[in-house]
Order: sequence, then C-alpha cells, then structure tokens
Amino acid sequence: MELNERNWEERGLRDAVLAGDETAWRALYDRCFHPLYAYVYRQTHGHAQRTEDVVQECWLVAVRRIRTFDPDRARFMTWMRGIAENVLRNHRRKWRRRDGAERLTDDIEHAAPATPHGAQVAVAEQVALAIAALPPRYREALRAKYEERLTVAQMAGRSGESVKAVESLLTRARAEFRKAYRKLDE
Amino acid sequence: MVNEHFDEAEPLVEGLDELPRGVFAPGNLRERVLRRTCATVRARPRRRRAIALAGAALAYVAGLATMHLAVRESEPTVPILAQGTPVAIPSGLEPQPSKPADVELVPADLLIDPKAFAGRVATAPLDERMQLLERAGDRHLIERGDVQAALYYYRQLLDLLPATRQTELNPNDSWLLFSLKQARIKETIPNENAST
Repeated sequence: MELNERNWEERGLRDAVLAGDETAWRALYDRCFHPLYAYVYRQTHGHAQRTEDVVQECWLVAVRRIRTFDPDRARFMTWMRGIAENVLRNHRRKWRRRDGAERLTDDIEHAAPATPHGAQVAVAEQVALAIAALPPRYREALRAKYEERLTVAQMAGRSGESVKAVESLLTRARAEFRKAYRKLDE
Repeated sequence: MVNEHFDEAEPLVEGLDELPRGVFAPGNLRERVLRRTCATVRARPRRRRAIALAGAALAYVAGLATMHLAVRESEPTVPILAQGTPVAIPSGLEPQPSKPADVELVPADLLIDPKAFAGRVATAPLDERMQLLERAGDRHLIERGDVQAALYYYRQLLDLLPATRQTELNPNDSWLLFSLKQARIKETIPNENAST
C-alpha cells in the first residue's frame, strides 16, 4: 500500500473513530492487535501476564488519545508502539521493585525464578513475532493445534470442516509460519 | 490440496516440543480489550453532546443572570401616584373603550413581572419604548381595571413624548390617556396666557 494511500485510509479511520464509529475502530484494532502483542511480548521477555497487562493498557490509552494520532507523522502501528514504550517504561519501574522483592524471597528460599530466561526467551519472542505476522486463519489453526492441544479431528469437529481440509490448513499454516520465523532469524 | 504424509505430532519449531506460554495472544484478551475500547468509542459522541449541552445550558444561565443584574440596576423607583381630578371629555373626541389587537404587543408575562418589563423598556429604542409604555397602560386599564398602574405607565409615556404630541388628542387613546393629555392641554394654556 502506498504511503499516501495508507495515510488517507488511516486518517479516515481515525476521523470515523472520533465520530463514534465502532467499525472503524475495529479495523484499526484488528490490524494491530497481534503485532502489538508480539512487540510487547518481546519487550517483557516472554512474560505472559505482563504482556497482557501492558497490551490492555496500551489499547485503553490509544482509544482515549486517538485524536493525537497524526497519520502524516507515523503509521498507526508506529504510534501504538510509541504508546507501548511509554506504558512499558511505567510498568518497568513497578516490576523492578516487585522483582527486587521476589529475588530477595527467592534467595531466602533458594527457588528458581518463575519467568523463562536465556535462549528459551529468545525463541519465544521469535515465535510470537512470526505468529503475529500470519493471516488470522493460519494463526487460529496453529493456536488450536499447539496451544489448546486439539487433535485434527477435534479441530475439524469444531470448525465443521473435513479432517483432510484441516490437515491441509495446518500444513499451509506451518509452512507460512516457518517462512516468517526464518525471515526473523536472518 | 491433501497432504498424504501429514504428521499430526510434528512440532511447530524444530527442537521445541512445547511452545512457551503466551506466544499466542489469549483469545479472551483480544475480545475483552475490544469490548472495553469499543464502549469508549461509542461513548465519545454521547460525551461530546453532553458537553455541548452543558455549555449551552451554562451560557443560558449566564445570560439569565446577566439580564437579572441589568434589570436590577435599571429598576425604576415606583412613584406615589397622586389622585387626578376628573376631566371632562370634549364631544366628538370620545376615546375607544378598548384596543384588543394592540394590547397583544405587550406579552402578559411582562405585565406580571414588572422588573422584566422595566428591563425591556430600558433597553428598547425610543419609539418602541413609547409604544411599550402605551400598550402596558392600555393592558392594565382594559384587562385588569388597574387605573393606578395604567396612570404610572401613561405618565412615563407623556414624559417621553415630544411637547407637540403630548397635547395631540387621538380618538384611539384610552379614556385615561385622553384625560391625561387634556390635563396637559389645560396646563399649557395658562402658561401661554401668562407669557403673553
């Protein structure tokens, strides 16, 4: 999409949201929800609960401040990342205090930290980013298979499709995911 | 396309049998946040309308308060009305008993609220002020039979009229205004005789 065309479109959506159009808001939201989630997931080093809190706050801030979004200066996703940075900065102070207290407790109890670290975190971040880049249909198929741990038969029963159709969908979703994953690796 | 060699247990990422928690945005999070933000979007025009209405109401109240203060500042001191002596009306110039079409020019609520009426008279141009005073006198006299109040307004009217019109008898004048004008004529004749 050309820059001017995107500006025009995002400006139109912003104006519609300001006029109270819920559909316009949904369009902006759907476009950026997963990429923003992946971005925050990465910034919180794969901490699911923190990611959830920050993402939620980001969207609440965005909907309140949508008037300040200027499509001539940045794309909507860039603007959302700016909001996420500010929200993360505020949360980090809180986390640091809490982590300090937790570390103190851990030292006393000689227990392992609750959050994942190191190479595992790096892989998790990369997976999250690759998933965010997928079309919604592929993303939902992978979620059903790898997060909810459904069998192909269960997925077919849920969606009303044949087992073969679900297998085909999963094959394509995996291929697309691996392509996105490798691209991030380069 | 059907994949003949589909392996259901194939891991998504090589070497990663189980995906870390949170790589997929929770479905309920997406829906929950969408619901909350949509409620804010929907409330935006309602809030804007409410602010506009509150602004308009505030402006209206401020206007009323300003008018009230202006009226209070220009409130006339009501004079003690002296009882006038009856004056004979010359034949051929009998005034009309009532003027129902004209009296409608002064709304009844203005007569009920003398302060508001005084405010309106004070701010009106001269011609309109004279008309208002005459109609107010008429309404008090015709509709309420309140001679004292009618006299009060007619006297103000006569004070505003130019000297030539103060003694100009008009068959449309009420009997009281007619009498007051006649009294003025009588007052001016001795003065003229004295000056000659």
